[in-house]
Amino acid sequence: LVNLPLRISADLGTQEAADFGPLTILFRRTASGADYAVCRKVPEAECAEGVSPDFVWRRYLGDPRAGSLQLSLVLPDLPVVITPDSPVYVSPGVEVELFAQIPGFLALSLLPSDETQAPPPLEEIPTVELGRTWLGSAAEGRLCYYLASSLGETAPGPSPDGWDGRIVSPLRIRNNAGEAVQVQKLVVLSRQLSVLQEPDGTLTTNATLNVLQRDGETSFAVGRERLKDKAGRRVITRPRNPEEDSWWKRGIDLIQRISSYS
Amino acid sequence: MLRFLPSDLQGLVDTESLLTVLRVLAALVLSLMAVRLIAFSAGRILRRRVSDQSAMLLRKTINYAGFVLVLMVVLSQLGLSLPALLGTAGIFAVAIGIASQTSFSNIVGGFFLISEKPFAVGDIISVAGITGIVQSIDLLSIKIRTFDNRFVRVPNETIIKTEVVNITRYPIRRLDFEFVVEYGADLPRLKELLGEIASEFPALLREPEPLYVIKGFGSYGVQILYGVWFPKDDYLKVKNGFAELLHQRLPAAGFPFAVEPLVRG
Repeated sequence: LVNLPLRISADLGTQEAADFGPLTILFRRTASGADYAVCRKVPEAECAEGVSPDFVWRRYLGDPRAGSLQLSLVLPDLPVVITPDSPVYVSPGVEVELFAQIPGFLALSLLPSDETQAPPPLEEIPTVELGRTWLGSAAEGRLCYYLASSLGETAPGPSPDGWDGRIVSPLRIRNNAGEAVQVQKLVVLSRQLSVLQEPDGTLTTNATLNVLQRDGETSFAVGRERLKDKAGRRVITRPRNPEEDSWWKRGIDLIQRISSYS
Repeated sequence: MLRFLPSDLQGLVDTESLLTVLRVLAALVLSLMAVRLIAFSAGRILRRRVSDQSAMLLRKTINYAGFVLVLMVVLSQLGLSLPALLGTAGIFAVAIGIASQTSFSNIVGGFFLISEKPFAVGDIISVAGITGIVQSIDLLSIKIRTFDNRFVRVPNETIIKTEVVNITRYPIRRLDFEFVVEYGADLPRLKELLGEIASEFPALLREPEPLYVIKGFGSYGVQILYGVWFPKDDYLKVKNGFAELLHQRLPAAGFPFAVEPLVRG
């Protein structure tokens, strides 16, 4: 993953493959167009080809000149709710930092042979299968991905077996509640985060702040520190909608809270 | 000037009257087109700012009000007195009102529906034994398209008087699966297994947690209710997919469904 985004090119009548974390992507060009398949890697003991045999070829019928397939890394399209494996207690007035690992998504785009700018992705596929959950009440809330995680206190380094499809996400918890609080879930606002590559190759996001309030409420925000300023860090993916948590939205939230205060 | 008319009509129509009629007709056509254009433009402009239902209501209000206005202007152009017209219209309104009390109660019902907003255009509702997607909410009735593609018109009065279930009001739903397992089944293990099966089904939500209830002890087994939550759009996927999974996994894990024994007399 040194040179993201990756590109797979294939001549007419040939088939090429590339690895993307726990996925293998096959690409072939035929006289009628371009086909691709996304397969999950399996141990060679289970399958001689090294990929799950139940993959399906998908035919792209857009542009017959499509010469290559672009593989980009994006963060999940919904917020990720992380449930700690073991209870986490945070003392009053303290800010702590924990590290979760969230799955990256593979975004696939087909590039016509004479263009360098990738068109919008054909599809986005999670590198690790994710469940879904609901954040809020049954009458109002938002759909999120669900992830059970053992939260570490130090950032994990690169795996010797290669990238496993996960991205390290720092989570800050600030307890403003005035008493010790047990953290049951944490939220990663993935649409507002960037993916950054550390000098050692580890992929990280910028930090998400979870603030525990006095009345038992929790609010979420993206950390303001500029992680990319550190020497050797490289931005791989920009936020999908960076303005979502902007100052004016916070202002509107504040006005709504004041108006509904009783 | 009027030579194009048959000779027996030439004495009946003078030039001035004909020009007046032509002018009024042209004004009528152009005014009605302008009203339609204003209603259409208002609908397009407001489409992204207000709900479909409000935009449709505004379009219809502009259409009806514009039509009445154009009609009154046209009639006054033809030389009819406006106060006399309004007076006649008032008398007609009273007469029509008395004669059509049902329609009036529908209109009042329509106002209640618009102000109370129990559902909106695009919602799936169930009313008077009919379930379908709301196509429009009008002053006299609502129009529903059923899932087997029938068009149903339900008078507003019926909606006001009967129970209406808005199936898609909230973003998530719970679907309850009820089944009976044989007496002697390991119920704590059954609860655990149901949780495992639910977590394997991708359309289901982890939270809110599934509802597990031992409903009672029936004549041939223990009655179980298992309610799972999902985003409202995944209804059919869950209804069929999860039922299929339960049917396959429970007997395989040692929890056969109990069935009522056949009694031969």
